[in-house]
Amino acid sequence: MSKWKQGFSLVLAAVFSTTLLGGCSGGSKGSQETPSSNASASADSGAGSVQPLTIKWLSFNPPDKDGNAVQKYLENRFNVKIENMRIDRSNWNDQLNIKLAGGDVPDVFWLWDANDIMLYSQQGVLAELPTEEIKENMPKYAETVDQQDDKLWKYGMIDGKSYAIPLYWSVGSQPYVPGYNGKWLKAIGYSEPPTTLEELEDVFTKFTNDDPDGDGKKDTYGISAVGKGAIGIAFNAVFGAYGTKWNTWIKDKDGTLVNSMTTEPVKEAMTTLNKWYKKGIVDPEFITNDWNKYRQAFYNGKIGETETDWRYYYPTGLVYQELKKVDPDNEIITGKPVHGPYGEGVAHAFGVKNSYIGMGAQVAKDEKKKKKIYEILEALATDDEAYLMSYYGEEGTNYTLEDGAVVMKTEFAPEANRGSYGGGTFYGFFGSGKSSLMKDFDFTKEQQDFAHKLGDGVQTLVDAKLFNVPAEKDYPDLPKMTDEYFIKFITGELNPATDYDKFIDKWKKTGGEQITEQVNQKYTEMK
Amino acid sequence: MKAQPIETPLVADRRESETNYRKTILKEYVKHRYLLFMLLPGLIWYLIFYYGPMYGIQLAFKDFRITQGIMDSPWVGFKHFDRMFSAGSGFGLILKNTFLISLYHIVFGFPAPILLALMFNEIRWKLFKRITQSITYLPHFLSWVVMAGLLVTILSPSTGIVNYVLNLFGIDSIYFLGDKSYFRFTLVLSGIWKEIGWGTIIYLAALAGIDSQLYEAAVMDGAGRWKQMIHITLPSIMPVIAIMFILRIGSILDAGFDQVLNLYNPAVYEVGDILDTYVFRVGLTQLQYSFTTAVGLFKNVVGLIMVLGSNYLIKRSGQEGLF
Amino acid sequence: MTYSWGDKIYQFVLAFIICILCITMLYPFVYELSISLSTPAEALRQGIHLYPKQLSLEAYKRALNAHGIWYGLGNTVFRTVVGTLVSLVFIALTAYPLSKKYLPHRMFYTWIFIFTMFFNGGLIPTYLLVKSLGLLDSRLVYILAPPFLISTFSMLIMRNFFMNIPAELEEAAKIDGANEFRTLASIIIPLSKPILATVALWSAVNHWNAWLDGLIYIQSPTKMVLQIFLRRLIVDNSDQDLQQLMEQAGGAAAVIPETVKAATLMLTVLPIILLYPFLQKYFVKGIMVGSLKG
Repeated sequence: MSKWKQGFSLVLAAVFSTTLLGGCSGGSKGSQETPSSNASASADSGAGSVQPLTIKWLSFNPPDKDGNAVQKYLENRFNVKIENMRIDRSNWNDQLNIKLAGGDVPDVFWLWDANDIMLYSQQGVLAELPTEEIKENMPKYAETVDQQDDKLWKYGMIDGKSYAIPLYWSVGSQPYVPGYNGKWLKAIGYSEPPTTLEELEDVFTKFTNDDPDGDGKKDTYGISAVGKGAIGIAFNAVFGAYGTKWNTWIKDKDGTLVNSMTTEPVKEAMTTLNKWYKKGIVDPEFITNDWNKYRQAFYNGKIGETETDWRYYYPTGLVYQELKKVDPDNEIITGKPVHGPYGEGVAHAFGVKNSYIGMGAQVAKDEKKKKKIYEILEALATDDEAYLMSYYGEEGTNYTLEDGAVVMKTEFAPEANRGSYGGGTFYGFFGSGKSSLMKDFDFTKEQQDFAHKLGDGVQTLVDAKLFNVPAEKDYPDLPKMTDEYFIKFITGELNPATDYDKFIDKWKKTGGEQITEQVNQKYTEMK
Repeated sequence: MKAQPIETPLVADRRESETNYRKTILKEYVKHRYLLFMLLPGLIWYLIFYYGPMYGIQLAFKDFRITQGIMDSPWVGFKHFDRMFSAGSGFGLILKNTFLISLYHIVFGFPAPILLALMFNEIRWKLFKRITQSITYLPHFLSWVVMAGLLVTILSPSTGIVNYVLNLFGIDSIYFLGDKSYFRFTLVLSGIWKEIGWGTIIYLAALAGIDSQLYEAAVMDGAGRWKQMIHITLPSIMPVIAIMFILRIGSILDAGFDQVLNLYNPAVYEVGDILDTYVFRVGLTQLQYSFTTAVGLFKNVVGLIMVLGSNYLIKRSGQEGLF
Repeated sequence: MTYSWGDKIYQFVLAFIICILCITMLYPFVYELSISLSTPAEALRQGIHLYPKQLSLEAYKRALNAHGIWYGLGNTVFRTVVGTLVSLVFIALTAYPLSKKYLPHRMFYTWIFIFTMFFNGGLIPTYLLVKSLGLLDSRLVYILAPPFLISTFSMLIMRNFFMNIPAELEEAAKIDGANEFRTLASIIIPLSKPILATVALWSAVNHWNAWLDGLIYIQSPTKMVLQIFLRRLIVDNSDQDLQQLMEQAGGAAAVIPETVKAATLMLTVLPIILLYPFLQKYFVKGIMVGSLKG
């Protein structure tokens, strides 16, 4: 009897002691491997001190291990110690909130968009970084920003204050152009891609009815879209023909900003789409398409037209490769936006606005650290060596230079694989198109030419509202409503002729009007 | 001399019975001290890890300021709940969807594993049983991210196999995931399909504990399979069914976030948008930590009420409840 | 024992229904397995995939070489084995006293546990607590942090199972002078193999699939669990952000192909599927036979 009692007590004791012991040793181990936030050497004793500064670094796609090649390079070159903060993309806000709540505020603070700036600045965890200060400390980079779009400084401002260094993305200025299934175009008798809205309709109709893939079945359509998650850029080919885009902010005749949905061209485009859906030339399953299924519809020969930017059409690009794998002797014929009743067609472009780099609030009080971070960032963006190392790695080991452009070794081509040495976007914020000074490293001459040709003469339409306004917080589900109505007008559940105006009324009443007002306020401020 | 309170007989009685009560309790604790030793580790763990952080619930009534921490964040009363229930947000529809979908899941999805478990129980061929049981567990391990992609393909009106079969029977193709009239049905059916196998495990465990002598006696009394099922099998697993049901109904406002998020699209928002997907969307645009806490609290309070209610009913029917 | 024709038909019908069900359940796995063994071109082909028309082990090579797989596996195995065992002990120790009607203040204690199913402080306070206990970045957090050590759900189910064990079996031991520990160990536990196996299975699967706690509490990549690394292969690829961020030099090569995703899925799922057959023997009928005779 006592044997059992002893046995049990032993088990309990064992379990408990491992718990306690583990807890203690785990704690101390933990503090050895990742120095606590209080260990930052901000107690620098002034000029001449050789103590390296500790910088808590938050970015995305963290490196596999600490102390990797790129990290060491940065630490040695700038005399700093970098503490990597790891947060997974999939749950970003949740994890970040937890770390912030625990007092773990990064020094280098990756911010996905202006909304993040708003949220975190309101929470008081961001340091104010006045535009003048940024221009002073990162002069060469700031110049490139001005060249791209001088409003970039203003998009992310909250109440007139700047909290972050704006990043741009040169590919963002490139248009989304239509790409057609080459074999199909020939099969229906077109030697050139369509250039007018009428031709476009004809092409889609023939794609649907004339059995372009020659399999005897009526299983083809003209066009599709990503209904799940990308309604904003769905059916650009049609909206673009009317010189507009869905749910985008454009300048009115008198210079104020309005939402494109409230204008005639969008209503007409919607009516046309409704007509085409009824005709059966629009793939009805666009509703359940995610990006994978949308691309699949193109390379598997379900639809004849797709839309994307030049990178995907280029021979190393995804859309090109996918089609070639399934149908090796086919090719993609790219076109330009077609002209419509309002004249020249326009193409969608995201715009060069990209993410932001902020600094934690504690950095505002640490002049040395702030200057150091600026120094590092400026180098990452403008110094060839730092740029190449941080984003691509070591020449010879990870990549080779051909004609001045970087060609990654195959095992390191996927960005995920660069984690082994710390390359990629974690340290290399400006990689691949985010610093125009480096464009010859990022893109080969062929690629740059290809992109130019594709976008030559194409007018792009970029959303004028690349910033957030407070009213959006009060009506957080407005996008859901516009998405819903978008689908209903196309599928015919609602009739654009009779119900569209009602929709606009509803939109205005449930936040649209307020948002428009604030948008224009901010827009005037930004001028 | 100090004034003493006058002790009336009644007060004295009460005092005495209180001391007696305390003495009795102490005796009970000593008598059953081993039980309490057993209980202690778990109890301590709960106190530390669940009750320690419990103060976080107040966030439902506050506006969370990260730098000030939970304790010092400003109070906002019922602001979050007001936002939840305000007409503009379409909350009524969302709540209705949540409730309906969850109800379907419970009404059809709760009995399903029980039926399957009973079916497995009836099969005599052991090898077949073992293999098929293992197969039925497989869908549980597929995440909805993966499952959604597969479902879109299988249920496609143009190329999906389900519609292919339907067409063979002369039925027109149905856009299961894109049609409002079929979306909930698809949700519930795919949900059942995914979890039915895994759900049988607990019932199989219960069935394993039935004394086979009971069956032998019944057979000798001339009872057929059906009678055996009704008089032996079902009553024997009723306790498990009862408690599983009570625990299940506590998540009545949980309509399956992962599944809906991966399967829904704007065409079916009207019928498919649930509480959790709404919170998810809203939470994306803002750091709505407090808002999420408030919605969570709301869900749990409703769940608790359902648990109390069903527990009461089940105990009335003679079964062991949750408490 | 001979069976009637009616009985045979009955068996056949049941088996048939189960077969149909199993076929539908097998298809996704056959599909993913086939994709995982396909060349990229074959994987893109439309239609039914029952077996790869063009075979390739490339996807598995890539998945197995993905960063962190091996120490991720080690951490996951650690938490699954140790975590499940420790959980079982704690759950049984807690469920047993609560199953006894004569436990003083039983209702009060039961409520303490049930209450936590409905009222929870949330992620941030729990994180702060874990941090103050020094468990951050320690593998022990996988075992100790809620909800893993004791699943209230499992505990309550086990409690009810204990409640349904006939009291006579315990009486016999008590008369012999056994205390509660002895009774639990030598009478209750052996009779409860099915529920123990069930709870063990639930706990093991939860540990195996866990990823969120690792992300929140652990910083060192060498201590993260398998699912964290595998998820990155499957989940990261599906959102629109990727379209904007997709780095041009990699082009198609930068995107995780379907084949690798499928291989990852297989790797995630197979080990735990293999666990079940070992536990199946505990689900055998008739454990109670003979217990009253002895």
